[in-house]
Amino acid sequence: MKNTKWIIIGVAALLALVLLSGCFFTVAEDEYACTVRFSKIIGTTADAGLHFKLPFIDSVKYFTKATQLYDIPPSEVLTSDKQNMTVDCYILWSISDPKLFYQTLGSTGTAEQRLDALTYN
Amino acid sequence: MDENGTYHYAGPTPTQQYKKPKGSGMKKAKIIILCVLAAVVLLAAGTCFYTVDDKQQAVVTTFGKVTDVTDAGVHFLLPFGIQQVEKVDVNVYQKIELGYSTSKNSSYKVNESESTMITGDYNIVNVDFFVEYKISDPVQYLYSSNNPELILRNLIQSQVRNVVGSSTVDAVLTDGKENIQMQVRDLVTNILSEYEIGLSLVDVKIQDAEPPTQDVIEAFKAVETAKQKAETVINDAKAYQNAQLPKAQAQADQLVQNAEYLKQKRINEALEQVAMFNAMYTEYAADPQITRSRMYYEAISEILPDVKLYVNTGSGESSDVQMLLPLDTLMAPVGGTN
Repeated sequence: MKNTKWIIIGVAALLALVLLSGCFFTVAEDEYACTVRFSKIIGTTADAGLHFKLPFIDSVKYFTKATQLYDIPPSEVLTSDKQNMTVDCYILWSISDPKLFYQTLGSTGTAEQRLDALTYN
Repeated sequence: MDENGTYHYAGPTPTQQYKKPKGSGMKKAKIIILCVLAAVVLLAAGTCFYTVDDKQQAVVTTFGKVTDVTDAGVHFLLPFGIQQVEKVDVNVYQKIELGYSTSKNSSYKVNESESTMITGDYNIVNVDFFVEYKISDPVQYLYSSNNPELILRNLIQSQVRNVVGSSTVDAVLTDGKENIQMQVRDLVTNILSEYEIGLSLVDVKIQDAEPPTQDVIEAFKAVETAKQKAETVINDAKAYQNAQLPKAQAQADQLVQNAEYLKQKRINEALEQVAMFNAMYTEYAADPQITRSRMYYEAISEILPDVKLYVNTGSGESSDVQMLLPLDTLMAPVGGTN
């Protein structure tokens, strides 16, 4: 009898712990966090620290806030006076609106592809 | 051996073994729990502190948020991942090598794609750079970009090309290095402060600046030696000039002085003649006849220096002197008369 009581207490404590840990999420200094409820982004935050969410229902998507470096491989171009030259440049970019970023691009990989296409012409 | 021993004492021992767990089992469990608790506490205590080296600063984050930046020494920390520490080498000078890389056994590897660049007058040169930087702001360094070193590297590369691309090849290879270093340093420092990636530039140095191929290097060396030769020739000529000029000057001075002397002499002579003429003229004015005849005699004696001259002061035809002259011509077989 005593044992079952202890077991019940243990399970309850474990459940409480899981619930509690599901209630919070942390955001690092170089991250945006988007709370997602049923696949819909319902809130974004840029403030680092501890944040609240509904357990099990809400999930969190993280996007980097840090400046990203994208080094474009050198490409040969012709100038208007028909000189052939190699151009090597790099792009520094960062996410300014995580929601829009997720909607239109999704990941940094596709973002870089888009940047590449944009800068090539 | 031991197995045999236990079998021998099989009779009495089982009862002891069954009884003891129930009596001291609770105690043992308590002890184990206590030990586990103690271990947990010890572990917690162990993770409650961290030390920071003298060359570092530590950034403390609480639930991911930066709450503190600490200097060297021992510091307190909330355990179980509530607070986390990232140590950053703030005071250490770090280096970037552009265009080459040195490994630990001091071997030297050239990286052409980084060092080759074009100058403002369409020449290609290989320029190697050595860059020193340090972390100026650990928080920015950790969180404001995903790879600050790579950003700095790209930035310096672009600014070096920017500066070299607007310099002449001679400046890059010879006397403009100092200037280029300075320009690159200023540009990079400015842009770094705009980027806010927590790095600051300490120094930029040109390691090597040379033409891209061996042929060009040799031609360039030839030009340099030719330049030096030209300089020595010019110096020689200057030395010769310095030796000759004073000599010529002295000669010129002497000539001028001589001329001056002659001029003075000539003037004096002329003045003397004028004075003589004037004196003569006063005499002439006083008695024109005498002076005229004297001048006539003088002129004659000058024109015909060999002629013997006799002056007859007798008055014309009524002279009482018989003209039998010249006597010496009479004595000679043939002679002229005057």
